[in-house]
Amino acid sequence: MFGLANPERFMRFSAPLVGPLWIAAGLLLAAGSWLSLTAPPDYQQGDSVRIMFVHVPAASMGLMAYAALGVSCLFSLVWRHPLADAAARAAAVPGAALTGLALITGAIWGKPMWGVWWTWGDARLVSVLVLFLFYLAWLALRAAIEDESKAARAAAVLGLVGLINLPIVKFSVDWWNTLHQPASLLRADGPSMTAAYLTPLLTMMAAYAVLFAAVWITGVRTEVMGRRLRTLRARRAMEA
Amino acid sequence: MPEVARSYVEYVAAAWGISAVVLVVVAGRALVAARQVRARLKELEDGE
Repeated sequence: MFGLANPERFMRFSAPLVGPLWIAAGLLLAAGSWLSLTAPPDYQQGDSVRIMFVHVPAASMGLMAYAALGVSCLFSLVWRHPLADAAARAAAVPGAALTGLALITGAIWGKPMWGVWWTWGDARLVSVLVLFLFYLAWLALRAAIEDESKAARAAAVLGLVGLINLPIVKFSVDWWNTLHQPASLLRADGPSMTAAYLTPLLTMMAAYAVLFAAVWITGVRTEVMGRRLRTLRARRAMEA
Repeated sequence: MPEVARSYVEYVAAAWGISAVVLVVVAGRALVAARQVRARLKELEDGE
C-alpha cells in the first residue's frame, strides 16, 4: 500500500481499474434498482420499504467515505504521503453528497412512518447531521487556505477530529434509546430481515460501494493530473 | 394475513428521484473533471 503512495505507480496501477469499476457500478445499480422496485410491499410499511434500498446504502457509504477521508488525513499528516491529501480531497465531495442524500431520504421515509420529517431528540439523526457538517467544514477549510501545504495540514487535523464521530453514528442506536431502529444487518445473530428485502438491499449497497470506489479513484487520478498540469504551467511561465 | 398498508408511492418516487439526480451529478462531475484535466494536460504536453 505504501508503494502506491508514489503518484506514478498509483496512476499505472489504477489505470486498468477505472473503466471496469464504472461498468460494474452501472450494472450493479441497474440490477439493484430492478430487485428493489420489484420486491413485494411490506405488510406494515407498504411501498415505502423501497426507500430503504436507497437510504441505507447512502448512509453506510457516507460513513465509509468519511473513514476513507479520515485515514487519508492521518497518512497526510503523519507520513506526508503525496497522494494522501489528494485521496482525502477526492473522498470529500462524494462523501458529503451521500451523507446529504441519507439525511434527505431518511426524512422522506420518516414522514409517513414516524409522522415527522426530523426530530432533534434522535441520536442517530443528529450524529449523521454532525457528520454532514464535518464534511462541509472540511471542504470549506480546505478551500479557504491559499497555501497548499498549510491547507492540507489544517484540513487533515479537522478530518482526524471528525473520525471521533464515526463510532457515535454507528453505535448511537445501541447507546441511546432512539426513534431510529437498531442495526438490522450487522448483528451478532445475523441480519434480521427476510431474503426478499436482504437481496435488493445488499445489491444496492454493493452498487453504491463500487460507484464510490469508481468516483474516488477517478478523483484521485484527476488530482494527480491536475498537480502535474500546474507544475507544467509553472515551468512554462518560468521559461517564458 | 394483515392488510397491506397505504402504498406511499409519492414518497418512494421522491426518494428515488432525488437519489438518481445526486448519483448522476456526483458521477458526472468526477468524469467531466477527469476528461477536462486530461485534455488540458495532453494539450500542454503535446506543445512541449
